[in-house]
Amino acid sequence: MFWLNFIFKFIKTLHSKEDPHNIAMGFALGSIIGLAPFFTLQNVFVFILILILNVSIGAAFFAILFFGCFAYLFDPQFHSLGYFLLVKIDSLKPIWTYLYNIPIAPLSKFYNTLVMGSLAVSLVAFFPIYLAFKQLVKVYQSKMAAKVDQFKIMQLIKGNKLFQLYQKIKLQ
Amino acid sequence: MRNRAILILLAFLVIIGLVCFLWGNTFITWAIENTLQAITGAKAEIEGFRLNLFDMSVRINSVQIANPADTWKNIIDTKKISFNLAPGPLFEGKTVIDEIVLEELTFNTKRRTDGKLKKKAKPEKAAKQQSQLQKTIAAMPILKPETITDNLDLKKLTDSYQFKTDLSAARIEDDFSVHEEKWDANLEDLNQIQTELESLDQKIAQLKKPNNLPELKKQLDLVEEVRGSAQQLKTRVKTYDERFKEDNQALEAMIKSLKNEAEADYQELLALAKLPDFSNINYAEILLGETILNTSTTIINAVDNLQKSLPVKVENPPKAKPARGEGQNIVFSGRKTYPRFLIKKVAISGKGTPDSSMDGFYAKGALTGITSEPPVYGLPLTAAVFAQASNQAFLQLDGKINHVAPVFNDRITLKLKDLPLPQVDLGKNEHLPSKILAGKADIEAVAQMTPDFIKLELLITAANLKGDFTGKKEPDDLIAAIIRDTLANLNQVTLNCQLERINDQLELKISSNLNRMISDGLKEAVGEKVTGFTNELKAKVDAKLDEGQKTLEAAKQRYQQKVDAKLNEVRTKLNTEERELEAKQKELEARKKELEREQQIKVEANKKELEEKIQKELERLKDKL
Repeated sequence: MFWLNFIFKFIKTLHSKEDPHNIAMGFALGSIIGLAPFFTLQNVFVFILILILNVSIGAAFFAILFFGCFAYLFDPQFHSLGYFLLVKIDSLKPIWTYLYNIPIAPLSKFYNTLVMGSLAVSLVAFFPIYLAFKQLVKVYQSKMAAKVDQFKIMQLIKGNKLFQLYQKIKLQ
Repeated sequence: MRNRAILILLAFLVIIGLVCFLWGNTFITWAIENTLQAITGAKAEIEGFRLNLFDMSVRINSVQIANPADTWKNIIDTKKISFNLAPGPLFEGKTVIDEIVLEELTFNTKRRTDGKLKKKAKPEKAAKQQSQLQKTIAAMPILKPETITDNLDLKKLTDSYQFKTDLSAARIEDDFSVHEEKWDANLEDLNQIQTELESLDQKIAQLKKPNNLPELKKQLDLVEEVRGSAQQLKTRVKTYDERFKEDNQALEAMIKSLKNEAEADYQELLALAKLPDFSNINYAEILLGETILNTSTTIINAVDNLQKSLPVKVENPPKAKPARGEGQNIVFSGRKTYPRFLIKKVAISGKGTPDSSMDGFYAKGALTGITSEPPVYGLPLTAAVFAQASNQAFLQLDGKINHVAPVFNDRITLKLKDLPLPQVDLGKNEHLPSKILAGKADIEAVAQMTPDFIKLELLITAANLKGDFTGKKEPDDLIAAIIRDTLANLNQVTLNCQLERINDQLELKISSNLNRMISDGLKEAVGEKVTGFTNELKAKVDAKLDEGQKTLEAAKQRYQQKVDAKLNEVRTKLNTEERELEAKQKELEARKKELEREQQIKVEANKKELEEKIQKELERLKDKL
């Protein structure tokens, strides 16, 4: 139900004339958390950014759900990439050793191949996801939103209490 | 920026803080219990866990870890544990404890509840190996007293039995006949050789004293020709000789193989008589194999888990195949690096409460270097524990697990002295006592681990054992009865076990003086009749063997003499021919020299005559001039 609410909220966000930049940024930030295998320090940091920055929370949660669903399928690839970055590239080893020896950094679990691989992929994919999603939102809002708005289900979604609360927070 | 979101975040943090404050200890207790359960495979219970966040100190009221081999007892039961967490490494996500003090440590205490884990462990490689090994553990033979008399009729038993010794002897005799036929054909060939030798002899006889050199040359050529033929015949004889030796060896082996058949006959007749060969049964393996295997496998699994928890040093760790969602942790060294988990020292001490069942109990020891990353810590894990009970039984555990370098040779030794056996559960074997009433045992166990193998050696010496079979059904066969009699009162028993795992293959060896005791007991119980029967049976089988061997030896001797005689005859003839030929050749060579000398004289005389003639002619011409 929790995730369903956020999906509804995301759909409403798409129809709310909100700036496509905010929606796409929320979506891109959510992708970082979604691709990560478990909750790490960097995910906490990204989560706080999503909450305090003026980005779409609905889009962020939708991205967490969306990327979280299929990131699991790419675990072997993330593991291979993480192993390559942590073990095979000798020039990076001093950086990893330094991070391993300073406080707080090890809490990010960067030394785990899966965390490193997924983080690398999410960082590389951050801007492409942002730009692509921004374009998608623009196209949707200009050409499809009005038609979809007239569907009966949209009226139900708009009446959702969580959506109204979200709208209040957003207006602050 | 969303100011209200910041407030919500702060509120959220406060809630998290409150949850940690109120239920943090419960969460940590749950996590530690799960970790211990994963390592031991049995229930672990922690009571009264208190973490003080201000001085980072931890106090635990009691820890109980169930014995995975006997889940109604605790392998370790300790109270009042206290230690401090190093705050610095916590910021790096690392748990470092300088020293843990374990007070009131006791071993093997009874549990109020079963310590078996509800969730069964996944069947692993070790479990498969164990089940395979279990199948190889010997099974108990059955010997019914009432059937003994019927079965001890040697005539009845042997009349209806087809002796393998006879069958094999007949088969070998057939083989002999085939060989004989072959050698008869070979003898024909040898006769042919003899005929050829005679013709050569005639040729040699034709050689007469030559009168001139061309005649001599002709005769020498004939000698060479005869020599060539003789050489060919010699080669043929040699080949036959070698073949004959090979055949003889093969036949010899066939005759010897009769002994195995006779042994098989003996064992089969024993089986028909339902009389096992008492001295060849490993009773200790039958009685205790399963219990020992289960205990040893539990130890091997624990050692396996320990080795997995203590990874060795690798410069470039090989790529692992982790489960989905887990990944592989890569360790980076450094001057200030701490392992992710480290307990520098665990000090153990314990003393039983006066006037209680534990009165007189005393334990002392230390474990050092307990860490998840030995190469990062740089020091081995060591263990030295000594415990003594009120009845003077003591336990001594010493071990060193050094995984600082990739190649390791770990060793753990455990000594238990004067262990009261009434506490020991013997398992569910129907032949073992339901409980031991009295007796003490000394146990020495050594576990050795290298990257390639794990080896467990166990030596148990028990004395003055009294077994109680109350509740067990009465034995219905003689062996079970003898075992029961033997185990009811034992003065001294030794048991030596060895479990080895090399390349995922488990091998178990058990030996004990129990085997001899039960075997002697059986021999004594079944008395002279069985001994006489087995002796008679053995004599009968031996007679069959002797008869078969003699017949075959005679057959072999018969044709061997025939072939040997022929071969010797041909060889002698050949040698005579060679000698004659040699003499003839020498004679011809002497004659050759003689003829050459005569020729030389003749030439000299002719030369002189011609010279004289020329001289005379010259003088005549001179006079004329």
